[in-house]
Amino acid sequence: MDISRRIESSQSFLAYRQNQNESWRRMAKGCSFSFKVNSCAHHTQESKALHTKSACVQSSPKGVCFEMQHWNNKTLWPDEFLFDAVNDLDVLTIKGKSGVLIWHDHIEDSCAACYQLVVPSGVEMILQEQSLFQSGMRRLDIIIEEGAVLHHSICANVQQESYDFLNVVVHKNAKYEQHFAVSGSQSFRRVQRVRLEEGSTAIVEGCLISKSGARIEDQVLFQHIKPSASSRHHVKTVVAANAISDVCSFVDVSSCANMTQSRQNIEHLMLEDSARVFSKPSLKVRVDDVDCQHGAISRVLQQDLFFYMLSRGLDIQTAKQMYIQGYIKDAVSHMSHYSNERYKYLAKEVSVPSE
Amino acid sequence: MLKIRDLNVGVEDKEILKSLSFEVPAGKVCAVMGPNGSGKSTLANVLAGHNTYQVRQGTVQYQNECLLSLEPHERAQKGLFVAFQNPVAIPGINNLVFMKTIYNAKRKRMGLDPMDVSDFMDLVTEKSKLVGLDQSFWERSVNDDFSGGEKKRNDILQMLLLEPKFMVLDETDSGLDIDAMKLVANAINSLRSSESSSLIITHYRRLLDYVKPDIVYVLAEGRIIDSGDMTMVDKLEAEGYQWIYQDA
Repeated sequence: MDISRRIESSQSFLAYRQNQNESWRRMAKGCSFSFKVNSCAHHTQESKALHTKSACVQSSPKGVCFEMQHWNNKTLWPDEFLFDAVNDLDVLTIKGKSGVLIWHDHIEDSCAACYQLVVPSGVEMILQEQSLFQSGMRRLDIIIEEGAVLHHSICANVQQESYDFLNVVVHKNAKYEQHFAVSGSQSFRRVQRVRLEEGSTAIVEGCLISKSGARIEDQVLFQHIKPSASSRHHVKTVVAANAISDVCSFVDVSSCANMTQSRQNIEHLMLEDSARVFSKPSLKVRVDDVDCQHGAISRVLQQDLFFYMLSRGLDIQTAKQMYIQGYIKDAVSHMSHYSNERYKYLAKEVSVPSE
Repeated sequence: MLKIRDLNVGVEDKEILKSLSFEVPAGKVCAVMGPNGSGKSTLANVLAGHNTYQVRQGTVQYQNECLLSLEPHERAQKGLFVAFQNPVAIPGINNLVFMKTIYNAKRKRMGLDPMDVSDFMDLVTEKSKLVGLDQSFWERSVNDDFSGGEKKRNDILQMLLLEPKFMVLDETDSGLDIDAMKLVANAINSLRSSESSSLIITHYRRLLDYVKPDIVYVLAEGRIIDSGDMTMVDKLEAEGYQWIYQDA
């Protein structure tokens, strides 16, 4: 059976069709889905960072361990598209080890790329990722084994319509910490599913910038399936003229996940009247003895702060630029790894048009 | 330097300033004193150009120019500085970066190159000592998690850097301890010159003991009802504001 048929006959897809599976919402109207799966030689050239392009290794640091299978076929997805149905593609697996791994990834040419990162038990790893999306879909599975820690820092630039699906499994007493800075000028959907086991921790926080005319969707599902796990989702967005930012944060607490702790916070900043934002922080709790909080704010420029800057002689454009940069810096400054790099990246991405 | 004539200001359907008229001559320090709700902070915000306050009538001439026709940043660029009663916090904007930006923006307007970083650090170090703020305040966000008194001193530090021609100090003395009050008063006095003027808005005489005003205006119910010299301050301190209403 081909992939399209398998997706259409899957339980999750049928549930979605019957409006019973709200986790993954319909793609933006007008988006088309045509991804092809690429095949490429596995280069072994050494460099300081791991360089991948459309799921092929271009170069890598010494000691990074890979397992890779080649494929060569082309798949057209059905009109209704579910990321979690992308289970049948071959995967490039990276086995993590303690220390820092710098990863430059490039998705282009309508490619569908699948990666898997395994952080073995007891290992503490820093993954510093810089991604460039130029049309395509990426799936990244992260498995953090018992007691392991992954600090995941993301700077992503979206230049053409793209999709990113991140699937994280955080095993017992393990920790996943993601700090992201995403900027886009086109349609981009980022879907994340984080499964938390006993005593585990997951943090996903960062900043999304929707440039003029862009549509950035960010959906995160935290599945608390065992007791004493904690999750935190905090996202700040900056939304330019005629852009859309759509953030969905969903915490799903199973009946045996008592002593769950979760925090969800969505903040949108709209720069112009034509900017549009959507927030959906939601909870589904099936057990007592949990500590869950969620909230969302959508706002325009805070006039009092803006006025204060003007009253010190800054012109409107400089004050606005400074205000936005302050907003971004506030979003990333408390993040433990590479916050300054993320701030510089985002600050460079945001520019206020001349009045 | 500043002439206010027949100024009426309101917020929505509430009238706050009613036919307010007074002058601040060049080189003079004037104080405006008055009871709560008399319109003192409204006056400061109107001068700064806050759009919450609607000017319904009257004129404000600043250096022979119509102040009310200028945008807030244009007023500041022409040398007006308002130290606010409640300076806002700006999370994420480093205090030192903010000071450097406003200082270099002024230099640019004067046709000068931006000041070298080390020179600017020396300048801020010197000015910070005048208001009793140490370097730890530079690294924090503007007014973020500052105490009330620290915010006021931070505003005065900005004022010292910008060396404005006309200073409006809206209850700068509130929240300051005795030592900080003296420091702030010295800082204000250091900017006194024949070419600059100040308008000090306050409830109490404490600050005025250190920054001696040339003229004291009494503001009540949105208008100036009396004026005088430092003896007026003594009278207000001794008798409070009740005599205003009895005379009326």
